[in-house]
Amino acid sequence: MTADSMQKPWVRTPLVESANLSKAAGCRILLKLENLQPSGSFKSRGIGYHLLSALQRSSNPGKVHFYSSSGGNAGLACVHAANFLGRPSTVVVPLSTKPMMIVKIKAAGATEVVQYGATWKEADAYLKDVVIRTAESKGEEGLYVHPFDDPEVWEGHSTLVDELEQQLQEMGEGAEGPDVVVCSVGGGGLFNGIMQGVEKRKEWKTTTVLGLETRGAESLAQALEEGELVTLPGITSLATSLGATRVSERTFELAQKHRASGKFKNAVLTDAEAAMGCWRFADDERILVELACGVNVAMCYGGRLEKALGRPVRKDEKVVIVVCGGQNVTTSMIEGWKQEFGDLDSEVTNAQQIADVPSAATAPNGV
Amino acid sequence: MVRHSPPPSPPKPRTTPTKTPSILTKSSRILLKHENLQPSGSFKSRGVGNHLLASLRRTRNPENVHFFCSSGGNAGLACVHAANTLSRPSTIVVPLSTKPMMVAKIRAAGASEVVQYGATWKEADAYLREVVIRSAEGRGEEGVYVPPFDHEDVWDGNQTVVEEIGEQLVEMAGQEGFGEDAPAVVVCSVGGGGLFNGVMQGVLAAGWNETEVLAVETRGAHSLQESLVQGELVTLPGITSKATSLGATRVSERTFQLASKFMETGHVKSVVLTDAEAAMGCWRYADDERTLVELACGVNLALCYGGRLEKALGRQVGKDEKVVIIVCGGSNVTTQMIEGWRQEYGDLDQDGATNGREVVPSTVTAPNGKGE
Repeated sequence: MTADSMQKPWVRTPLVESANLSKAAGCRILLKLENLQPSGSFKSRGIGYHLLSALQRSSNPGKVHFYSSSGGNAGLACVHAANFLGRPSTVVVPLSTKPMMIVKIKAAGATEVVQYGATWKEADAYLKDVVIRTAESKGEEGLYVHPFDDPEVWEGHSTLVDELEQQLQEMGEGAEGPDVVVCSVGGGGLFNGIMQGVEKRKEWKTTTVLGLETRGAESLAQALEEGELVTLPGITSLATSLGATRVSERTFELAQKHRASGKFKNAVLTDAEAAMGCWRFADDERILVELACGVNVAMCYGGRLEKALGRPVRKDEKVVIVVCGGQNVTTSMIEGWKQEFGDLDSEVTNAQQIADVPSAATAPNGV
Repeated sequence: MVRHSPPPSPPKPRTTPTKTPSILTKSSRILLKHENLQPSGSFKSRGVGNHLLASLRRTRNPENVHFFCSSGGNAGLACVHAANTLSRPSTIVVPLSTKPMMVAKIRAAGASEVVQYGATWKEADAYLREVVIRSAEGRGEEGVYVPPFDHEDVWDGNQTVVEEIGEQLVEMAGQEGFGEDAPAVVVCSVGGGGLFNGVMQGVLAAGWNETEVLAVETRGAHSLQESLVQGELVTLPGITSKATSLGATRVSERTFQLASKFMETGHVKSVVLTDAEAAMGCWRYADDERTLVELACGVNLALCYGGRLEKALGRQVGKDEKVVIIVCGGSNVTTQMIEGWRQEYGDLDQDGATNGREVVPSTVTAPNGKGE
């Protein structure tokens, strides 16, 4: 049974045109709703594909036990996919992990959730050195699932681009692809999958991939500035899902390769802007996403898209936003961000664009 | 009904309002039909969209058509969105009591004009018909009045939700390993009954002879249940439920006909839950699925918690039985309202148990639940 014919632990997500965000941005904003993946984020694709492939490769699939050290969306995706495929999964996370996320991982059906260590590094080491070793001595085939740095994970994420191509054609939008695809960059797994999908499509000649990070987690931007892969000393952004201190080598490679031609552009936004994207998205589309995802939505407001692209946008331009999703968000967090970060764009000159969407009325110091 | 032969084709929309697909995602045995993803934010895009399309087809002068609606809610939004897609103007007349947020949403959706008039919906509606539409026609426009639910075109449009569910279940059966057979249960809210009529039409047309339809209302807007109890179509003296989108004091005749007939055969069950339960459904759904819906929709989702589904059906639900909830959506909700409902209505079910699962994230976030 090939990976193709086995049932897949991810779903085809809708591509919907957003009236409100299009109005705010001045072009056509199409949302790829990865928040609807079974685990709540796009990670269901890459991690799901990786687990599927691993089972197929194993000579003893009945003995496979999956392991993850992510207390976030990668852990959730791993657990959900393992369950779906009928295999056990164990997640080892640091003691500092939010109780809400622990509950979510258990609710997703983890065989076991172990809390160990003060940092992710300690939890990860404990997982590899102790937990997996113990399992293997008991005759299990323990498979460590990396959250982003694996070609199979990127391959899985690139199914998003396959769907995008089909959906654009179904919508009667022709074969030249979108003008821009906007996605977040944490460790770069999603970006790798998207860039790989875009670069292999020769008809998508003018498609630009816009990779976004938050200040305090901008490992890619720093690397591009230094001209070499770097490791940030720490993560200071609140968008913890983007908190990889070092992007994958492949991410750096692809970013450098496509920068000159303009096929790749990057931008760094603040936590405040990400938070703004989150509460506006909640008001304008009634969907809750994490900060790591809100940073993409923020591009639609206050002329940020033009600024990032370095050129004006046309009304008929198609900009696809990968709504990556994420489970680390609640209505009270959204309310908190609205109060704390307020209306960042009350001074923005292009006031007409802002005024015509519901979130203009609900902004704390808005109309 | 006499149908005119088709006139020269009316302006073709880029995306047909009634065909916008929504997704069926799976959470345990429960399947959610995401009508909240319709362009106007609710299932009304289907029925109202179809009515607008059909109106344009029926007229000799589609370029003169101007659509009018007296709904300050989701029907109004659906009318505006559909009119825009079909490149026609739309005017919405609503009572002075309409929430500013909803007026803002209708304007933001691109209504040609929003007029606020009168203390009640009745007054606004009368003003719309007697004054506003008459003036428009005096100017040479063809004014088309768009009813929120009581029209065949609306039911026919809403019926497409069942057709899609059928197709999607077959697709998912291969993918997810469950049978291709019909769902055991379909859950939908009942306001005026437009959605319910479309759902029943769809279930009957699909030949789903064993499917049970749960027609859900909130206490204080339970016009259908009251009629079923009385054995005749009745008008409630008023609406006391906060789920104002369900606030039709009298369901359509068709709704009463279909519900009475199929209640006898056990194919329809009338369920009434409280505002508190609807609010619980809303905040739990926000916590468990990160999507905001109105009370009129939360009332359906409440069935997923605390054994309410079994209670409504009067039996246990088998592991392989598919329960499809039509997540009708709705724009009258914000994170602030959700937070308010969470505080006010607290945790109705101390143990937070759901059908088939011990603990869900919303168990932890409940005010008096097993918190952090």
